[in-house]
Amino acid sequence: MKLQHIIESQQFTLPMLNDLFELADQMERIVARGGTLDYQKKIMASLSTNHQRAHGFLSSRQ
Amino acid sequence: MIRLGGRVMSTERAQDFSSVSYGESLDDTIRVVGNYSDVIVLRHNQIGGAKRAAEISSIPIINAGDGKGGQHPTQALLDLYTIYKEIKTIDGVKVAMVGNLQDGRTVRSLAYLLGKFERVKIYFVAPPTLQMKQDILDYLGRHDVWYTLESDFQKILPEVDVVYMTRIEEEKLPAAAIEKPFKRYFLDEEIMKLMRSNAILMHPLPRLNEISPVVDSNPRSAYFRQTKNGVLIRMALLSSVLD
Repeated sequence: MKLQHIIESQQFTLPMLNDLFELADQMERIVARGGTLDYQKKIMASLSTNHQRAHGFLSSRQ
Repeated sequence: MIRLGGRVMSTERAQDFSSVSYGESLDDTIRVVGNYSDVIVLRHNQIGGAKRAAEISSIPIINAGDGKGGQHPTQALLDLYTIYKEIKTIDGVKVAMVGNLQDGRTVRSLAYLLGKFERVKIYFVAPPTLQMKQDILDYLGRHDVWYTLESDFQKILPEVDVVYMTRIEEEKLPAAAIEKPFKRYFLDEEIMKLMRSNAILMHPLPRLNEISPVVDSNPRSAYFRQTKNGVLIRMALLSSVLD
């Protein structure tokens, strides 16, 4: 499954959700093995313009 | 991102100390940060901020929440994944969304997703002043999704498979009403007994006072499993935009 942007829930169709869940199941196995280095050349920028609490994506914990 | 082997550059409260504080526009910030990175995860203080960013960005944008009453699609996706893993199906599921639904990004995004499945029933449980906005109700109506507006939290607990609690911030309520709504939408061990034996309790976290820590160890409390699922779904989303 290739996505360009993730902006709103409505953009996901049922087949896309099915693919996403299968991919998440694969990620669970990857995490159990200690993660992967497949994206070691990639950089994620986390940008926030408000003061609200942030867990998840915006936290460097993940 | 770290479990995928990648790196993270973080600019939180960008309006205070990044170039945004000098008046840099969102468009310029996105173009500049787009030269530094391969994907931008954006939390913006205005509804539609992520959409605007995506229109001018050369790299993928992931909406991590935009404005009060906007959307938070990645949270909704991990919520849906949690329901799928815990209940084993989404078709036919009965979900109660409880708390400040008017401003809640997570519940709005989750309602959109649940509306794609068959025979789903959604119970919006909130004080009348904090009920779900009309645009979501209209969307559900157009897609023939059953929903009801409730203010009695305990009444619906025996009926549903999923209780999705959200924060009710004190400042959102008139002073005279604070005590009563907080008590009305508070869940502790006694109130949890009203839930079905196989129903689950979810919360996007962080919580305020709406769930007693006493119920954390109850197997039906799924909110910490929910955060684990969040890592998996967000890894999957990152790989989907980076591949």
